[in-house]
Amino acid sequence: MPFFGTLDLAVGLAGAPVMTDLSPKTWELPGAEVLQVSYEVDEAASLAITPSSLHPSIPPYATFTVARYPESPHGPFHLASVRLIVRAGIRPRGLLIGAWCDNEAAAAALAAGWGYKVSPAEVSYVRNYQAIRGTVTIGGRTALDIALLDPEPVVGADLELFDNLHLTNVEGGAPVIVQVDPTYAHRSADRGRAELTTYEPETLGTTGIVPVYRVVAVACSADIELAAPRFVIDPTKPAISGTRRI
Amino acid sequence: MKFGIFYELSVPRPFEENERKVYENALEQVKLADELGFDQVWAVEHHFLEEYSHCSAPELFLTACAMITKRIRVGHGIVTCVPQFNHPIRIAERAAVLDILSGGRLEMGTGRSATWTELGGFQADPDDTKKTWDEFVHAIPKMWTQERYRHEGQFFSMPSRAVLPKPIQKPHPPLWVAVSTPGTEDDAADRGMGCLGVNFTSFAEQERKVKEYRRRIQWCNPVGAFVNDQLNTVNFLYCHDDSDTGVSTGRRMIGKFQYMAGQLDMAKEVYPTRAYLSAGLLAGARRQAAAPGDLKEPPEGIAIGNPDQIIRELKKWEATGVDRCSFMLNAAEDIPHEQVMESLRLFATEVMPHFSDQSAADATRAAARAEAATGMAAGGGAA
Repeated sequence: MPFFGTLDLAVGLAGAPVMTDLSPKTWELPGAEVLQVSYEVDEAASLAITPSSLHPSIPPYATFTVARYPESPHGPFHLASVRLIVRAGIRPRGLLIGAWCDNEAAAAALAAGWGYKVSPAEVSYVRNYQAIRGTVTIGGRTALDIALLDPEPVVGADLELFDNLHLTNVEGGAPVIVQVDPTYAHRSADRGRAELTTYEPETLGTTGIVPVYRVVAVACSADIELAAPRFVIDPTKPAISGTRRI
Repeated sequence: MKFGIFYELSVPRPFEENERKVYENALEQVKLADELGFDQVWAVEHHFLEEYSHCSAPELFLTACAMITKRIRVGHGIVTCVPQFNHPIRIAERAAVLDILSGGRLEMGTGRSATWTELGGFQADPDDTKKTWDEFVHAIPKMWTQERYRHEGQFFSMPSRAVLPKPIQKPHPPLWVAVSTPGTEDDAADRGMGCLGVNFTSFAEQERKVKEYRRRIQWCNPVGAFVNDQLNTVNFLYCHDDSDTGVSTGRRMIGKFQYMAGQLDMAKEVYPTRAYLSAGLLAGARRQAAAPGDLKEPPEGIAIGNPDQIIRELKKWEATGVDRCSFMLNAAEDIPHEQVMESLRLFATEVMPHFSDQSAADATRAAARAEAATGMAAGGGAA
């Protein structure tokens, strides 16, 4: 049997939001720009932040993402996130470890409707011909600086952007891992060399993510639809038996 | 249709306790399979695939198989034709030694790996693996057949050297390619190589692929000194007198295999590249695991259940024109070794006699040849 995570749920839920609306209205996010950098990460550290319902992937790796959303129900915003790629049963998923947003209303809605554990920060996304770069700045200090270097066009369908998992509290109920499934209609996509110029896990609160080996960077321009969550996983049971439709 | 067995050598945790037992059990099964009349034993090459496959030195395992058997052919497959994994000279040398030690029983399977777990581990570029495989499979038969060989290529070069020893089989052992990504069956056909179909696709899809392979290989430009136009599909086997026991035990084994496969990082999922158009074998396994079905019956085309059920499913494969079917017998020792041995015995006694001829495969070959001849007569031949 593959390993299961060893996360202490009380620790994992510290700072997690309380979902107040399990059926939020779908967000249309046209013209989004997404940059994602992947690194393999330390096995032992990642196991300790994985709930016991999930398996680590072999090998474990994390994604560092910065996205710009020029339109949303709450106006334009940037959102950055750090995710650990895990397995819910046999399905690859991106477990949210931390997220940062520069739009207070959007952040509150993402927390309430989709269980985003999101903190305020300055988030930037800059696209040039030689590189696509994203940063997270907290208290005037850059805590995350990622880049895709030497972008080369690829087909959007070649990008694997997994569905996401958010460990969260639910108003009036037990904690759950909610599955968040954005859909992408790609306009363009790029691939290139990954760069993690700055990563301050203590500042970000992501100390369980310890990058050890560069994988790849991808970027895309896409119309994204963020529909209401459809599935939740009981964080205390294996996902193969503990997943239910909302 | 001929039958073989196929090993990933999956090992349950704790590895230190179980690895040796898995190898010992497999060798006993191979010895029995040889005595029972199975035609081939295949062993994969995989690295770093925890639980799923601990078969990183298949040439050693197959040498041991050859030493304890008399007749069964040894399928070295697939060997990863990526320079970070294997230098092509070493592939040719090791394979030739295995052919000698087995008394000319080698079947040579080639491939390129489909997981980031392996490609990343060897720091191989997923973009290049199709190209490196192609360069290797063109070179290796020449290393075997030419007294001396030299090569200047994109991924390796060598001055003139005698690559030694040479295989016993003349002109050389049959060449195969593993097919887990759509389109690789066309690559096999174009190069005159046997198709080791390790894709657990639907039966209908496999039927279409067989026909296309037979058609396409008529125009091949063979990489070796002869065309190997055989199709070998890969399946699961658990045969038991009692249908319920056979199906439920078989389904449990398949489920375990798919669960282990699902934990691995597939190349396409991690690293976007046109060289991997699909997530390959393991993603197919994931889909199949999620598919609904009648739990009392074997999944379509899968050789689990009682002998009658297995004959029924394998007759479907035979009708498509495949030449061989190789079986995975276990997954992380989920089925006790003695039961695997009993399953092999029952299969050999009750099922194998129903598949004694090759007429269906020969018929599809003949049909493809006739179609090609007609096309050429009408002026539509290959360029």
